[in-house]
Amino acid sequence: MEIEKEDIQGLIARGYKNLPSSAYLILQFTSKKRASQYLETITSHISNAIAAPEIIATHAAFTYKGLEFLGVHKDTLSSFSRPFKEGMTESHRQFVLGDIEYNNPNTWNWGGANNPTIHMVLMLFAVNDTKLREVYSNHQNLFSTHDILEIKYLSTTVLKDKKEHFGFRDSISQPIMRGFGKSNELPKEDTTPTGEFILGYKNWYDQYPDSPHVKKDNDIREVLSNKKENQNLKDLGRNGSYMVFRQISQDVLEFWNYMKSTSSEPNVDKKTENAIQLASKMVGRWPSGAPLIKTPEKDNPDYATDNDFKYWNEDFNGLKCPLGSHIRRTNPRDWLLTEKTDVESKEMSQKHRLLRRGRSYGDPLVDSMVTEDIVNANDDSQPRGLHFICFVGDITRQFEFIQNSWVKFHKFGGLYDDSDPLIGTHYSNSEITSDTFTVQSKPFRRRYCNMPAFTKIEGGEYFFFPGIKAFQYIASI
Amino acid sequence: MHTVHNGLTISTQIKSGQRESLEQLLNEINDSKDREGAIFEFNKLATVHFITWIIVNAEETPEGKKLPERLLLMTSYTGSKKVHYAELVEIGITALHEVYSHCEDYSYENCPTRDHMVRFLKSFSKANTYYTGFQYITHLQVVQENQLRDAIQLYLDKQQDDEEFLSLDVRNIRIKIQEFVKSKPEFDWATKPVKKTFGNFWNLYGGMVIMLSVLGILILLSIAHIFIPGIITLVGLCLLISLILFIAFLLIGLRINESNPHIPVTPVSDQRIHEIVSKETFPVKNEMSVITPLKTGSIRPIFLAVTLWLVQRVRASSYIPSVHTARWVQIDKGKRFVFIAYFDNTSEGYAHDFVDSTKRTRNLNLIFGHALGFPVTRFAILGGGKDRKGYITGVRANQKIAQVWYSTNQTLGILNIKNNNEIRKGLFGKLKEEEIEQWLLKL
Repeated sequence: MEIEKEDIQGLIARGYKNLPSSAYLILQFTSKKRASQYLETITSHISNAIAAPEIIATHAAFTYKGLEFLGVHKDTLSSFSRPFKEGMTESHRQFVLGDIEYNNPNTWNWGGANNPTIHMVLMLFAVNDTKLREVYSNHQNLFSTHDILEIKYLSTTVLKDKKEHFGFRDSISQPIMRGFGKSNELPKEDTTPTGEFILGYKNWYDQYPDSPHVKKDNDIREVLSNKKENQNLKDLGRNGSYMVFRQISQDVLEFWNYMKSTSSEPNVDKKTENAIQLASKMVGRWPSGAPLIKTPEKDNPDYATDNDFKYWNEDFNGLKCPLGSHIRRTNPRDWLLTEKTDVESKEMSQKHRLLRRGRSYGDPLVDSMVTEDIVNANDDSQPRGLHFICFVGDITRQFEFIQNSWVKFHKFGGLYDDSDPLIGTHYSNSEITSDTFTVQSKPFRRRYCNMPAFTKIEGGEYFFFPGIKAFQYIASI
Repeated sequence: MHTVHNGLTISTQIKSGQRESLEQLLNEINDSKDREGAIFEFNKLATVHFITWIIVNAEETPEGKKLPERLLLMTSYTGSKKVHYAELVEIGITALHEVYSHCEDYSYENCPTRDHMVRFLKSFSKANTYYTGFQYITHLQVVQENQLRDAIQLYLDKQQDDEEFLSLDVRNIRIKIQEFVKSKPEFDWATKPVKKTFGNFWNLYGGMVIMLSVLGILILLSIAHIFIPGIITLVGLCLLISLILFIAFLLIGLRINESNPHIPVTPVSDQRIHEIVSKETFPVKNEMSVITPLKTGSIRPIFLAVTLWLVQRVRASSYIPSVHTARWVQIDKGKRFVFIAYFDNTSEGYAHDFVDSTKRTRNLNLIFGHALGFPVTRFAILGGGKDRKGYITGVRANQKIAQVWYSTNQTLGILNIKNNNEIRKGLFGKLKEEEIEQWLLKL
């Protein structure tokens, strides 16, 4: 089936490495009429997925409350998926996602009941800071004339050597979506159906993902396509996606202090080496990005972008890459201890993938981003972290499943008290201990208990990232 | 005494007009279950792993036959059914009396004797097909083996920086752990070897052995009839042919039935799904009950009954990931299907266990394919759950909320329970060096 790239917002297709300056603007409308005018104004600026923009890219996504405010018909609103309608901070969802204790939405800076209602996020990507400021300034003027409140300006940063703030190379493993990039050059089994990430296309189950719809009569300008499964409805979701946005702050100093505190080694260099080794065990990759499966004893930059590895046969017991490490939890590949074979494990885990498009924010603790320097750097009390952004066709089956069953669940992989060492919620009470990290080794395991929190959720929400025609429709209501 | 796991299912009809007060009573039992002076002190039950009490709505089969409002009591227990009955009644007779006073055919105005209560329960018990993820392990064992593992963990935590300890070979490390355990009188039980008993084997595999033996004898007699015809061999041949014809009849009948127009289930509202999932607040394991009439056609109850009978015989070889225990039951003369499972984490993930695996989807179809609202199957195992959307819609539409749910060992996942048992089994006794290495990896 032909991919309608002209109708897909380009951020789904690419991460804009050539546009390093970017910002996310969290917005609230105050006038339906003016908000619609603003959307009409910016419609032509929205970048599609045909070719990579060279100077600027603009994208927009809406919350459920935003669509409601814009006057989307209630029948259409009810056709959106349940998690999107309920929002990220719905009370039971906090339990599902692990947004409890210090991650409770009551402590967030944006999103949730204690902060202003969010209607839209505008995402700007530019070739440099000057251009970004220029574009942002234009939008600020538009906000002012269209009575739009800017709730948050979330800046981003691109760290040296493609690293994240702890000092590890990031974004190496991404699913390859059919119809994009190099997918045509790869065997079909190594690619992911388009419908896993974009509505209107078939997913792993050879079915179209649930997609919001509009009654034919309500699409007066006839901008939307018919729904494939029901010709009497127009497909509002087609070429769109659900976008999960979570701002995750990283406590770099706490992270490395903990790693260093676990070693009684008096020699600073050796202590640093031990700290990096433990941190790499938690990540599952060395700072260069080399996977522990390929090079378990020491970092080897030759494997920096290596993503061609499995667990079942290579490391069933987690002796190279710990069972609870971050990369093993977020993508277990062919190893799920609940399954009987590697084939069954792969069949299960491939149904739960995300297309990540996030960026870091805040200045690095050290500009060089050399891990050894970060380990021994002094506190600068500056906020930093990751704007985690991902696209999914099914929030429940993809993002929430991964977050709940693999990241948060302290029993993942037969473990007892271990949630994800990087992004899990670490705490202990009469019912749960989730602040342990276990390193499987011979002759027996090593446990690290009472791990503090290394990351914290600062804000978040679920968004609908419409196709460009759908954006036009929403603007025209 | 054996320690095989089983399920007890008691199905009673609720008296007209009694539902509301019964529901209130069950809610009170549920709310008080963890408190001092609970109405039913479940935590005193030694044979039990899980208990559910659930009210099943009155509904109609696709043919229009009315199915009554029912109360189902479902327990997962270890060992003798007789002992389990006796314990249930000994500890909960007052609560049982209050509950069953709301049900038909319960004739006791005052609390009856224990014998009478057992007789009442027995008379309403239903055969169920039962799966457990931790066969042979008793409730007490689960507790003790977890305490043992915790103690060994704390011991190893102290040794993990001790260079001298770490330099020991695996055999000596195991000896050190053994010595530590022996030094703790509370773990005397762990020093005794785990014995395999014939009672355990027979209670679990006996049915399968008998079934396969009978089948084998019939095949042998049939072959023998070709060479040495006689009355006995002829009877064997006739029985085998009858069996084959019966299976063929079931398959053809089902295939014809499968071509009936599918009656799609009406998806439940988001509010209803929210109501269901909001009950899943336990951090390690939760419960799911799916109850629905069967699809139209008289072949379905028979086919399902035969399938469940067979699955019960071969249950020892079945495997469902992340499940502690599960059961399938037919009630109302086979017209209504009950499925209940206790599993790790939430129902979203659990529901996916079935449809994300091709093999399990086929197994699922064999049973769930008969349930009203589930997608159409072909030849009993094809299609069906492959329609993932239809399957999930069917599950949610037929999912019920239990009024009472009690679980032991809330903090342990199924893999934890099994691993703790492996640790205990490998602690003492002879092991080769490679086996010790593997055993140490379980710690």
